Amino acid sequence: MMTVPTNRGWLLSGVRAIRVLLLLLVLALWETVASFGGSLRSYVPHVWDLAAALGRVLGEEEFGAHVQATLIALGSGVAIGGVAGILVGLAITSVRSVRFVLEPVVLYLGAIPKIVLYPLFIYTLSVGMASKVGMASLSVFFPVAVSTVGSAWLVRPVWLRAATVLDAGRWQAVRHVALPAMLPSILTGVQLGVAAGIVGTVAAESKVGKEGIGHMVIDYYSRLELPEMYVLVLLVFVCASVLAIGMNRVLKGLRKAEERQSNQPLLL
Amino acid sequence: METRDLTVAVTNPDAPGPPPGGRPRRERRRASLDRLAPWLRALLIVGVVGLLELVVGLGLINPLFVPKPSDALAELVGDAGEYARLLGTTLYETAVAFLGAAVIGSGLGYLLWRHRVLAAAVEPVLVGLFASPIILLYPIFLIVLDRSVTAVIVQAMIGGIIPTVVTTQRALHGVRATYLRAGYLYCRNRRQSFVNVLLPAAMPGIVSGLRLGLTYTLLTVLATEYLTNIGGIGAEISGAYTLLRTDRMYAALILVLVLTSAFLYGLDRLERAFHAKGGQG
Repeated sequence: MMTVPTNRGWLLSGVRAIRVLLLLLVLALWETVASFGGSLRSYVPHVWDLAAALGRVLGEEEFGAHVQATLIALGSGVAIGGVAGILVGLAITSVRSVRFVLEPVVLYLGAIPKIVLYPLFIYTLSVGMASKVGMASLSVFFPVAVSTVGSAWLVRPVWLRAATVLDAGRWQAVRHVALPAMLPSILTGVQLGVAAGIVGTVAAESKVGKEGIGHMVIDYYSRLELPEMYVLVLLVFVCASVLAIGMNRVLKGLRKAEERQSNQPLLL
Repeated sequence: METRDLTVAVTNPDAPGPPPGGRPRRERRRASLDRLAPWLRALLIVGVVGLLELVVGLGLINPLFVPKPSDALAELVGDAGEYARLLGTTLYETAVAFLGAAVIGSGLGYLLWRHRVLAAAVEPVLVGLFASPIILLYPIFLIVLDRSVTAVIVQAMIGGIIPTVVTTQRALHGVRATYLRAGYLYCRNRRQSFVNVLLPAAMPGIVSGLRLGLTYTLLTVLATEYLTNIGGIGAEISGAYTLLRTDRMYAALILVLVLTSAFLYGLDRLERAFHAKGGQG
């Protein structure tokens, strides 16, 4: 049976076509520079060299151990920094005068590039996994804390007054009114925190240390194994992108579910 | 935006509704809190610094790892010329990188706004790049551009482009359809409509995007300087750490804190002024 393409159908096919075209364009440009790029040729390996390098990188004996080291540092950082960020954010939010005083302090401290504070972790926790976890935790902490503190703006006073009128207790008002309203912003903070955690972890690994993906990239750079270095950077980007897109979809789904719920008629 | 009253209601949910005349009292309390907050904040910072001075002075923290804040400040003041030079280098790198990021980012943002299908096609790429550790590209720039300030500038420019693209596109999308129709009806051509209608309408959003781009550019400059040991304050932190000159390292860290805070504060004020002007217009 023939189907008539809808507007959405056309859009989707157009999007797919453009994606393929863009990918081909990038590959063609890369290959042009690799073949005829003059002095740049020595820095831009052929696509087939990159493909071969991918095999070598993935086949390297210690590749798994490096990935594991990065994931452990990142996972621990997300857990410690995320929980600490939410708890500190909620503590600041729960007392009005404290929030007035501390909100700008958290905001301004959060704007510092965390990697420049890495020497402090090395001094206190020495070179190794502990200092990397510290770095990742700090990187995750600030976006989560800032979003949690900012999420208080999303709780409308009228909702809390309604809860009071309905005879809700203090904990009930927090659990059923304040927290659900704050949740999307907190989750966005966690998403930003994970991205910041990846940056903090790999940047720390690239500066000091003997394990992790960041260290591998710098190791390839110092040995001038450029195809391997490019491939590894690309792999990190792809993994971070997939994670970000996945989290984005989950957040969108949560928001839609919340909208559906809030649009339901109130039955009295 | 409605005023927040989370704490009052949550801490005392059984309290009766606002009595007649209660609102002005609450607003008065809030105004006095607004006035007091900066002083309390300053007191908190002075307290923390004083406590650190005391703890290090008593030998509870090894001064080899954490110097007295007064020593770090004395270092900063004593070698003010050198720190001013480092600050100048960082600011120069930030300015050049931001200029590139603003031009390229705004241009790409406009292009994506004009072509809906293209925007839909590259959206996942932008989301992915926004979350990717762009900083990891620095070895590539070191190879191609050598160990130079240019490498730091290009790395920072890439760091600033992506947020600028995303926010410019969003700002243009946020322009009301009524304005676009008015531009179509009353302007002679697309260029006129863009300059006289679209651009002024989207400007507050574009300015917010540029503010974000500038912040990202500065952060990337400092991070790249630290990682590569090239350039201004970031490189100084790395060098001082290697030489175990903690007084110099902390002096540079104080400078980073002051610089990022001043940037954030200045940009915030500028954006508010711009929005206020736009609101009056």
